[in-house]
Amino acid sequence: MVWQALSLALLLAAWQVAALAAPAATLPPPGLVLAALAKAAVQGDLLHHLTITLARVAVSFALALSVGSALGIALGRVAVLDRLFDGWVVFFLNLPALVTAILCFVWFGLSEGAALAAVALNKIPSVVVTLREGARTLDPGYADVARIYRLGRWKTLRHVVLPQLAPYLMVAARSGLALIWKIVLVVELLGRSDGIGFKLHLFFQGFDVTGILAYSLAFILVIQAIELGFLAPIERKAAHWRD
Amino acid sequence: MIRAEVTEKRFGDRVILANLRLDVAQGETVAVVGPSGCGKSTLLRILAGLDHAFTGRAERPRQLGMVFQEPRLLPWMSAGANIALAAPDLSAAEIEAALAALGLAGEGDKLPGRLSLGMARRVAVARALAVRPAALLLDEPFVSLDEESARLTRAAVKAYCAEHRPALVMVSHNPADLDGLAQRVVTIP
Repeated sequence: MVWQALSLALLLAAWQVAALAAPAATLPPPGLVLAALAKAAVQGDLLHHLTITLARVAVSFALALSVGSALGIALGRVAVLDRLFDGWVVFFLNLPALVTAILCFVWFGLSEGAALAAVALNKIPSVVVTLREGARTLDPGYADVARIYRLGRWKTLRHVVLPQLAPYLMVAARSGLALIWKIVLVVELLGRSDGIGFKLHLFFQGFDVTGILAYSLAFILVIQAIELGFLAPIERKAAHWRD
Repeated sequence: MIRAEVTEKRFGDRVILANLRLDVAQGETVAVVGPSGCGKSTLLRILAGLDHAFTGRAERPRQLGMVFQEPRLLPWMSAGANIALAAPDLSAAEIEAALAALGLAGEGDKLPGRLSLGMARRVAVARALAVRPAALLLDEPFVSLDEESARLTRAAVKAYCAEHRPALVMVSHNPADLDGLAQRVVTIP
């Protein structure tokens, strides 16, 4: 904790020094950005745009994780499917986020659905790869136990399969959150008229660096809070038996 | 009643079991013995319905209990929860009694990783008995068990067989393990 505070203080100090050396319009000092952030939160539309972007992150995160997990488990368990679709996975893994976003907007219009689909489609392949790896490591011995005691599909999934996949799901969730919120900003910048990405676009047009930094900072802080307050506790709970 | 007719079971080019017939009536206890690698565990998996890749047929009752060579307890659940998962109708008191019958009173809250191998194997036996199996399959139930665990396991299995008369098949490579448990011995060469 002490080290983290020290590290943060160092970052702010470096920022302050750099701001002194640069013109104010190019790099405003942290105090000015924080003041702009507070003002935008209280008087401006920061919370409105932040809420919209977070909702997009949440929906596309849930979509990417559920679809990607189901596909990953299927590929990890059924060799024929894996051989058949491995090439697809590699192809989509290497498709730039920008291309997916542009194509989704062109094909489906500048709609909410197209934006969410673009973000989810970008993340699904890496979830597939992670969960495919997890599904390959499932212990057949536990599957035998599930069959002997006739646990049925739901109990087998809940009590036998998911606990084994938990570490892989956590990796997919953490890297997913880190990637998805960045893609959401790109998608908003390209084809939405609200959200943090849209605001960043407006600030960019006016070369308003203070606005760019204030909105970015607010969003980074929220994502960090979700990571620490939501994902980290789930991970600790899922891994309790490994202690 | 357990019934198996195995015309042939292979692993690749190697024939593991051939022309084997095994009928075990309710209340009958059968030991399958033979050297390591002769196909005893494979036969047990066929009897359990875990291996269908053979020519022949196998029948078993729906209510099965099986103890594998390793405990195979789900490591993320307590010993008691492992039993409760297999036997969801049991009350907490009945689960505690099932554990106590194998000398594990008060150990139900422990995770399998906190138990010794002998204790974990006994939990696996308690789980197998807790489902009130009509057929009980034991794979080397006494191998590498400490004396106390072997004694408790033997006593619990004997008591269950006396009361509920399951069809019991026990695989062992050491005839000394049988110690009055088996009424009939089938040898696989």
